[in-house]
Amino acid sequence: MYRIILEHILQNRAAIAGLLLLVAVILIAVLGSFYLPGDPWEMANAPMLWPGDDPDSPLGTDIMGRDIATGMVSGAKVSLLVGFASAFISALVGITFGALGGFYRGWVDAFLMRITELFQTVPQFVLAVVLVAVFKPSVVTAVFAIGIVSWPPTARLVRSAFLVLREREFVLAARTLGMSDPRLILTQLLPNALPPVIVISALNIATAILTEASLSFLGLGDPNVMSWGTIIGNGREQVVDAWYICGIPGIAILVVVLAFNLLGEGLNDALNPQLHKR
Amino acid sequence: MSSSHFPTVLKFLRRRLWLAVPVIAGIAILNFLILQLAPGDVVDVLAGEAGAATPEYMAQLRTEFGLDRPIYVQLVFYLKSVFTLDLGFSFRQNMPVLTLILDRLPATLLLMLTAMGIALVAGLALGVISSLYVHRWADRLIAVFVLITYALPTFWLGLMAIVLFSGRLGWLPSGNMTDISADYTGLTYAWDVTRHAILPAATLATFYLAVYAKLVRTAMLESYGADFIRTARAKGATETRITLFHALRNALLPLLTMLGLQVSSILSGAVLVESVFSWPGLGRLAFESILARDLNLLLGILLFSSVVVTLINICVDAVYAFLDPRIELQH
Repeated sequence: MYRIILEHILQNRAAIAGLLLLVAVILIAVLGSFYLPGDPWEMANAPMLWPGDDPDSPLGTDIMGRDIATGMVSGAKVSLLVGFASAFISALVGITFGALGGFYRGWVDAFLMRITELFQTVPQFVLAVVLVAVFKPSVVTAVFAIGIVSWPPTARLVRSAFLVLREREFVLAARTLGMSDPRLILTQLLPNALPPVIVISALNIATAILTEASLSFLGLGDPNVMSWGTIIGNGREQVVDAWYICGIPGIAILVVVLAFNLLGEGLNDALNPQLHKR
Repeated sequence: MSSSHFPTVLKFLRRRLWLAVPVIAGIAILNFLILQLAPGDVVDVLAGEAGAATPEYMAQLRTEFGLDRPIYVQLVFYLKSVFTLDLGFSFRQNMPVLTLILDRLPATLLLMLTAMGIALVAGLALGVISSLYVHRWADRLIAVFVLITYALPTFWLGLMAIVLFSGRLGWLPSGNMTDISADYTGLTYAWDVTRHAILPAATLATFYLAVYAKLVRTAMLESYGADFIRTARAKGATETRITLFHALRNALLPLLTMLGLQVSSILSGAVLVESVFSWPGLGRLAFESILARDLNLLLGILLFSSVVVTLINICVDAVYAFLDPRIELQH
């Protein structure tokens, strides 16, 4: 089944474009550390150099003379790390809530869905801001905060899949064989509910990267780690005179988020080929 | 809506407001949990870090919260204070949290509603154009616009708008809600606020505009295949009439559903947009409280903005029932 999906993905232009962009960003994050091993917080050159002014700082420097190219490499690593890690947490929480609710139904489901609704009513970004501010800004708190605010759609998706799947004959067969509930959930139902979770997780990575950038833009980034949002936040006072300081990281965020959105869309098409011609 | 509907609407509102009570209680419990898990004790967080409050007041708060008592007693205390609208005191701003929030609320509501209006109108227009020219260049162009908009960081878009429209072109002001140096009244005041609102509202609207354009396009294309459109054509209705009165009217319903789902996300967006444009609303207040590490104020904003989301959702549901007569307010 997964081979067929892979073939579909490789025939999908959106997915290929997304994959290529993603590979480019990963290369920048990995190779960049070799070419620009410097500390992104250190003064490396004269301040406020425009891109191209000095070949030593190809993307220019900010008001403190910090090299933007070095900061961009650091930011690429932070974005990818936070994106994947918080999407993973979000998937974990969402699957747990959705699976238990959809499998047991009744009061368990009602209780878990109330909590899900609560998390959908609270403005997500404001909650993330509160969590990061209360538990001290760092990469770890950002990952957890973003994971905690973004799981409800996954939970709803898994729940509705489980509600359908639990009535199917193969589940009944497994139950008749005396399979325990945890085993039933993990080995029979979950693998069949997983494909849409993969799609939504790709989109969650995109949202997580945007949220991380917004948090560090507001000054809630890890004080020791340079991220794209931090660079934009530091440059906002001079944005009218030196727009490149905010412009360059913003374009990077745009490209990465676009990559994951395209990938998610491509995966969605690959997993639902009948919807393809819309 | 005729006057005979009016009592139904009131009943609907009353019932929905009662249903909102457990939601608000849930959010208060969430706040309480965050307070409990936070480093330091509840009073440290509530009174603001770095000793902005007097030691006497801290001691008084500790007794009030009964920090020596079981946790459920503390929870009851906290819920009681929330439901009596006592959100505590901000020592940084030297004002009760509730007063601070209520002061800033109108600006946020103005920004949100303007942005929603722009997003709805422009999204509808783009969606209709897309559906009329499916797979032609206008449709493709709009599709690319939607794709890019989905990936744009809102705050960055705002900064770039400032660079272009206030910096380079000098057309619009880059921040605040009014011209502080001038003392406008009446119409000139309204015009001044409008000029200041254009950039932040358009920035906030961009993402939702793209979502609505995509949604309207799909809904329009679906309804063109429906029986009632064929009937309208058979009756000799013009294509313009079919587009505007038959297809579009049906496309409004999924749009409204989406709007209801997005209220909380629009409020989140407002927080970011306000801090970019120094718009004096809840978001700017949140930004100020982040800078001052005023966690109690921040928690108050979280609670209050959730209440706003709940209330706007009730309004959206009422409009939904108004647009679709098949849905009755009783159910």
